[in-house]
Formats: sequence, C-alpha cells, structure tokens
Amino acid sequence: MKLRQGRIGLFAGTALAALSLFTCGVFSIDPKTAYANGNSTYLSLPLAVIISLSALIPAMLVLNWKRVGLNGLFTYAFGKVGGIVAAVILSVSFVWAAAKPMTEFLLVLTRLVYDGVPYMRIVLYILPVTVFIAWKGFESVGRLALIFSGLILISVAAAALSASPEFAAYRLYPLPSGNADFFKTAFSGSVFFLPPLAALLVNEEGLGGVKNVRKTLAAAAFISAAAIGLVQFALALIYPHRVLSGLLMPLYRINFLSLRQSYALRLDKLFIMVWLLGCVISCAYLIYSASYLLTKTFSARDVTPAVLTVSAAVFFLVTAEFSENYARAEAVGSFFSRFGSLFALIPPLLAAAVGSIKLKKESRL
Amino acid sequence: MKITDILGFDREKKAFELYERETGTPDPFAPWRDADGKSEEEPPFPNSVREAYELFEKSFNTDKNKDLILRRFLAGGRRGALAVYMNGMADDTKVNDFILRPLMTFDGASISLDELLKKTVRIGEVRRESSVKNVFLAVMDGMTALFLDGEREAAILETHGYEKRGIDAPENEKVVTGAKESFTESLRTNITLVRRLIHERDLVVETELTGGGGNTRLAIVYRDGVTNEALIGEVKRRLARIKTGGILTSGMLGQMIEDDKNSPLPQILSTERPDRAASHVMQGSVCLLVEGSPFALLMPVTFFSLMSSPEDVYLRKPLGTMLRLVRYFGAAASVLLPGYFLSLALYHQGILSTEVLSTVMASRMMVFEPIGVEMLLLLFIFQLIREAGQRVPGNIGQAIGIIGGLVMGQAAVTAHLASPVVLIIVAASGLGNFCIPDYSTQLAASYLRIAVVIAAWLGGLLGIAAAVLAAACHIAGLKSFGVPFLAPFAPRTSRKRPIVLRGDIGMHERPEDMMNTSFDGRLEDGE
Repeated sequence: MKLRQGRIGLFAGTALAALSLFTCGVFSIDPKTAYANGNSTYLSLPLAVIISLSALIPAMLVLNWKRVGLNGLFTYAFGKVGGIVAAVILSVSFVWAAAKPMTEFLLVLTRLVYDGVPYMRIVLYILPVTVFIAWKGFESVGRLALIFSGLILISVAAAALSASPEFAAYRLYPLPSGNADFFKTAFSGSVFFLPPLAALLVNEEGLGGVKNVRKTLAAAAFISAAAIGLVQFALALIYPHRVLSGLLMPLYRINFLSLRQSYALRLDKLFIMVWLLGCVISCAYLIYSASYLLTKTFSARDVTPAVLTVSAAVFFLVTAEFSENYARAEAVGSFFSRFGSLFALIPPLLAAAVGSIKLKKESRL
Repeated sequence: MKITDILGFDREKKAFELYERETGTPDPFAPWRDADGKSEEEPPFPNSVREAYELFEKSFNTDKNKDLILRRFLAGGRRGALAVYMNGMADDTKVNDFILRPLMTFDGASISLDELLKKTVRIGEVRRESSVKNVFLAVMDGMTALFLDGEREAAILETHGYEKRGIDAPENEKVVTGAKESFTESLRTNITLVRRLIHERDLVVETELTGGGGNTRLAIVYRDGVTNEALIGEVKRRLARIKTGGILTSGMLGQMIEDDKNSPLPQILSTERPDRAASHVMQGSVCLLVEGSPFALLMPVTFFSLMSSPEDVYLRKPLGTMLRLVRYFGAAASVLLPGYFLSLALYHQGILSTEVLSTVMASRMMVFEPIGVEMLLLLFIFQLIREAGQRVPGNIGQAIGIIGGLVMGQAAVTAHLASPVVLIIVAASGLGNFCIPDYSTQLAASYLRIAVVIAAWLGGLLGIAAAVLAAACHIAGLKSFGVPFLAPFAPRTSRKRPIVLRGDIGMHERPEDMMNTSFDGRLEDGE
C-alpha cells in the first residue's frame, strides 16, 4: 500500500490547516465579493472560518461514532455508488480550492514580478514542485507546513507592520450597512475555508483519529481566524474598501504605498516568494487530500495515479484563467465562488445526517 | 484539568512510536553465508589431532599459505596436541611462553582439555568451541586454537598480537578545547576507547560477524534497558540482510543499512571521536564499530545532530550558542547565497540598491561570459580545489588550497574570466560550507548549492523557491531508523533543550524524547 498517509502530530496538523486557511483568507479571497460592503472583512472572514468549522461538526460527531473514515462514512450513508459520487464531489471542491490561490499567485507573479514572462513558464516552476510535495504524502506536507509556517507568519507580520505609518482609522469606514450584508459576506466567505477544514477529516487516519482531528481543527480555526482578522484589519487601515475591491493581493501591494524611500520596499519580492511557499504547501495538501479520498474510495493501493489525475485537473483550472476562453473560465470561477461551499459542505453534512439516522436504526435493532 | 489535557493529542504509549517496526523477530544475526546468502555446509569436528591437522592443511591450502602455523606436540609428554595460529596475527611470545612451554612441561596425572585450561595455560581469555567454522574464524582473527587427541572441542586462546596504529588526534573533527583522541583501525582499541568513557553497567558491546561470508567483524554498542529495543532489533535486522561479500568498511556498511540510499544526506552519523560516540550512546543511540575502520557509526541521526559539533558543549553556553548560530547561518549562506545573488542580478535588480547594482555592473564590465556561467565555473573550480586539496597529502594539500584560492582567483579576475564580486560570493559560500561539521552533509550542501544556482539562473527567486521547497520536502520525508530527520522540530517532540541554540549542560541529563528510551516510560510493556 503506497497511500503515503503517514502520521503527523498536533503541531504539524494545526500548522497545515492554519496555513491553508490563512492562504485562503489573505491571498486568495475574491476582492470584489469580500470588500463589496465595506472594510469589515477583518470581522466577516474570521466569522467565516468559525462558520466553516461549525458546519463540519456533525460529520465529526458521526465519524467519531462510526470510526470508518470519511470515505467509509460516505459508503455507509449513500451506498457504494452514492459514496463514490460524494467522494468525487468533495474532491472537486478540493481541486477548486487548490487552484484558486495558485491562480491568484500566478496573476501576481505574471503581472507584478515577472512582467512579460508567459504564465505557462511560471506554472512550470510551481506545479511540478506542488505535485512532488503532494506525491510525497500527508506526513511530508504536514512537516513542511510546520517548517515554513513561522517564516510565513513573520514575513506577513513584517509586511503589515512596515506599512504601520500609513495606518488611518478613518479608512475603516464604512462598516456594513446592515447585519444582513455582514453575515452574507461571512457566509459567502466560508466557501474558501470549508475545503481545507474538510480535508483534515479526510486525513483523519494521519492525525490519529477523529478526536485529534477535532482538536486540530479547533486550534487551526482559531489561530487562522485571529491571524486573518489581524491582517485584514491592517489592510483595512491602509486601503479604502473601494480600492481593496479592485486590488489584486492587497498585502503584496502594501509596500508600494508605504516606505517608498526605505530599503524595506525592496523586500516585497522576497515576501511574495515566502508566501508562495505557503500557497504551494496548502495546494499540495488539498491535492493529496483529494487523491487520498479517491484512492480509498476506489480501493486502490497506490495514491500516485490519483495525485497525477488531480494535479492535471488543478493544472487545467489554473491555466484556464489565462486561456483565450477566459470568459468561460471566469464563469466557472464565479460558479464555484457562489456554490463551491455546497460541494465541500453537502457531502459530509448529508453523510452525517443519513449516517446518524442509520446508526440510530441499527442501535434500535 | 490541565491545559495540556484539553489541547493535547491522544498519545497512547505506542501511538506515536517513532520507530517503524517490522513484524516478527530478527533473523539470526550474522549467519555464515556465501554471496548468495546461502549457508555454507560446516565440516564435522575432527576426531583426532591428525584429522584436525589434515583439515587445516586442506582448508587453508598450507602448501601455498605459509603463514598458518600448525604445531603438533605432546601435551605433558604423553597426549597428542595441536596448536594452530596465524603468523603475524598472533603474538609469538604469548604462544611460546604461555601456551606451548607450559603444556609441554605439564606433569599432572590426568591430561584433559579441562585440566590443561584450568592448570596450565596462562592466558586470560579462553573459551571452548565445538564448531569448526568458528575455530577457523578465531584463527584468522589472531587467536590460537588448541586441539587435544580424543577431545570433541577445541580451546580458543586469546593471543592477538598484530601491529596496529596508535591513537592519534582526530583529523576531520578537530576541536580546540576537547579531547584529542580518535578511533583507530583496531576494533578492540575502539571498544576500549568507548568503554573508557562510559562507566555504566548497562553498556553492552556485542561483537558479531556480518556481510556475505561473515567476513566483517563489528561491534554493536548500546545501553541495555535504555536504548529502545526496537531500534536495536532494527539495526540487527538490517545488518543480517547484508549479502555483499568482500571487505566492508564503516562507510560501505552505513550505506547498506540506511533508510534512503539515494538521498544525498547521510542518515547515519559517522564520527572519528570516541567522546562523540560515547555521548550518543549515553543518549540511547546505537553505535557500530567496524574492524578496520577508524570511524564509529551512530544511529538514529537527525539534521540537528549532523549540525552539532562536540565543541558546542565544551565551550560556555553563550559561546556555544554563538558558534551554532554562525554554523547555521554559514550553512544557509553556503546553499542560498550564490543562487540568491544570481537571481537578484538577473531578474530582480530592483531589490538591489543603485550603489550595489552599479558596483556589480562595474565589476562585470570586462567579463565576457554570462553571469550564470561565471558562477557555475567558479563553483566548479572551487570543487576542484577542494577535491585536489583532499587527495594530496598534508602540507601540499594546504598549499593547493592557498594557491587555488588566491592565485587562481586573482588570475581569473585579471583574465576577465570572473568578476571580483562573484568571486567573493563563491568564496563566502565556500567558507559557509566548511562550517558544516559533517563531511557528507558538507558535500550534500555543496551540490545542493549548484542545483539552487541553476534554478536561480533559470527562474530567479521563483526558481530558488521551487528548489528550496523540493529539497525541504525531501528532507522532511527522510527518516533515520524510523526517526524523522527533522525531529525534534518537525515533528515536534517534547523537549526542554533548545533545538538550534545550546541549552544548559544540566539539560542533557535525559535522552531526547524522540529516542524513545526507557526514560520516556514507553518501553515498559514489552516494547
């Protein structure tokens, strides 16, 4: 069996999940949607993380009772074919979640760092490494997250703090016009956070059981919610929300607004490379999770074919944004932005509901 | 309720066992095998001295093999006896004065092997052996075999007396304030060097034969009851699997039992310092000493132990800490500096200030080749000088280093083959490389540096990021006898000592958590 699951501990698991959530909440959010109703993302996005976490609690409870793994729960709840369909749907959400930050980074790299370099050349640097990391398995991905999470956190803090002379509280205005808008942003934002959290459920074995998954999820959610909130708050203190809603990766642009005369201005490219490490690790994590889920679902013995297939799907989505048929790709992107959460949420939630009903029936019998 | 109960993982005793174990018990250790791993048929034990004589004559081809001494005599003037030893391997004085003379002049009533060993032979280490193959091995090892007519066993008498090199100062792991002893090629001497430093009753030294044909004598050193039994079993299992014949040195043996043989990084620590070996054994490691090799192999090993030097603990805490910081910084600079400079010069000039950029441009004004070629050329020359300096003896090697470094560097700049800035970058990176204490890790870092330079040449910082991630992923996945290579950092294990910085000497009282020794309380239930 070459499932390459391995075993990681609380620190590595938390670092991995938190890094993925942070990447989603800081580098790959949809600026138009996120900043449409004002500069309140420092509240709505942490809330979105908590909403995503609580949405997966029923699945965790049933998994804790049944102890079969997520793919086992799918089969138990929906039957063999239904289980396969559920696993594929969840995997699709992982593929989308892996492609999204990668696309954002590619846009930044092609437009702001390697001006004039064809995007495909940049893809060829990032994607093979991502596939290699995903292929190495959950254990390696978890350890990489542990190694680089500190560095990424320091670089983000340095970037945000370097702009502190430019902070101005008036830019926080306007707050959301009403609670409805605020919660709408929070709920729509949860689309970014569900796949990385659900992926931990998939890798339950590598974390040593559902109980450990629960602790990891809680720790990662609270750490990342705090970190995302702080970074978004810093961004909100610097940019008016109308600027933010049209800005590609505002954290990267922070140095262009502040410290023009200082040497820190020149660190922007170093910072983005460090952040790119986080993006690659979280992307590899989601690719591996999708591959592992599919491999287990189809009772295969080696995760390699699934890793290659899922990576090809991610490659397709990433390059679609740059293709001539961009309009279609944009349509696919906006579809996933709206309904992607359903892909990540419905299979585990539905499996939890059906599974708990079946379990109750079995216990009565 | 403690906070650790709420946040801590479920840690069953065996759930986070770092050693990867196979099922079943280890194969019988050191079986007598040919190159295909098949057991060799053992000849029957000779019934008389004459038969023993003929057996040795035939097996050792004594017509041509003149250094095997077969000495027939009458023990006590009555009973036929045969002493067999290898000329040059055994000490003639010991054989003549303490075995042959007392046996020939013995005047006791009964002459049996038991009586002779009890009353006549004046040798400390004596054992009885009924296996012919073990008698052969003992004779080849410098022992003397004594046969007596009608006895079904031979006596093996310790008469080692071959020439060996004395104990010298270490050549590769020099320290300013530490011990000046290094291992030698003699297994016995090396065991003594370790034993002299460890005065624990639980210290076990198992001497065995391994390799195809059982040709290599080695000693497995560990602390019984402290070292994880799973680790000892795993080491023995891997040794038993070795089928390669010929002479096995510690370098070859290490490669044969490593987890990942294709990795450029060593997963076994090779040291020539007895104090370092003893320190690791005290912490629960297994040490292998091989006959003919002046190096001890220590396992398991992590990246951080490869980066530590005995000097760290010999110096005071602040100095040891600074030394380590300089070492880690040097290692990072060694791998990343040339590639980083190249990526800035080629792709990200904006990061450099105008002054630095103009200096670089001015220094490269007359250099005709591209900067990537220039960097690779200088790195190649650096590797050449290093290799040449190591292959030639003593002072000439140092001279080559100086000539290579100064004269060739100056000549290359004058001939516009290289610019001074790039030369400085390569030299600084080379110095950083020498900060890495372990030779294999040094080499791995120097080749990784070339990979990073190529990646930077092709893709700038993006290339470096890709290369670093790929390398980090490989290292994160490495294991040494089941212990993750980046432990105790990734995965994190409970520890009181700092990982990179040097902690208080008092913190060294317990072995590392990752060693899973008996101190962790995980070995009690049959582990």
